[in-house]
Amino acid sequence: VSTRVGVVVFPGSNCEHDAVEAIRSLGGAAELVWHGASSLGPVDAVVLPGGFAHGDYLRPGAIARFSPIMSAVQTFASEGGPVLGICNGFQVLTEAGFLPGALQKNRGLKFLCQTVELEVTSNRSVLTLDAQVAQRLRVPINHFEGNYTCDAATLAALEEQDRIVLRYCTNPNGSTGDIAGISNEAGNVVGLMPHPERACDPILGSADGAVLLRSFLQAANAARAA
Amino acid sequence: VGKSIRFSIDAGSEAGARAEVEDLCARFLTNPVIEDAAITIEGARS
Repeated sequence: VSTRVGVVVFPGSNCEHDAVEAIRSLGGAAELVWHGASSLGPVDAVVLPGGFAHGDYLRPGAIARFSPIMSAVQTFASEGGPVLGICNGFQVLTEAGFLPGALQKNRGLKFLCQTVELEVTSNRSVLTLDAQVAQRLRVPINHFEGNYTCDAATLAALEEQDRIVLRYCTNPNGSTGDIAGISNEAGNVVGLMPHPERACDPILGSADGAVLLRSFLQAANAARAA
Repeated sequence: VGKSIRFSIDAGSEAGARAEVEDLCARFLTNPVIEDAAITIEGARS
């Protein structure tokens, strides 16, 4: 049986099919899960995709955290299940308190849509366990509120606990510490602003995102076997 | 000011209304990591 990944669809999500296609191309099984559902069903991992959940009204992720499915995602995460928030999904994870800090408007107040270079800075997360520390990956970003911020104590804790998963080689948006992605303490919940699902085939300009999603599928497989 | 939000609530007193709105701000209307809120209560009616 393939690794089963539930990709949550909020009203306004727009990268869910990209995520499903990327996971399938890497040998996983992916299914869409509506945000109004109260159960995730039989899944080994969960993706919160990019887009504009609930229209980003109030703030990105502010309303999505109250979607019924989020209780099930919370339970899944607390039991060690791999959870990945991509772009808007990262914003949802911070608003919902799965991950610390917040994503504020980009420095320069411009929407950014470009390929960036990332450096893997930790491989103890579900997104990077198959990657090498210091490995560089080319992955696109596509966001307005991608400027990661947190207080000094949180930043120190993230660094000390090896929870900064990816950093920008050239900071595009003002993020504190060049942070592109972080994990929770256990490493099973990861949020990142770049879109690995849009970089899983050379025809898309880069296949480097596959390194990350393959790690995620491996982690899901391991979690299922445990 | 990033945004201005006006709404009506029922409360027993002005202090009660303020407490409720402070709670709303902390949990939903603002993200305390990046936002502050200033609360003004106007037009209290009995």
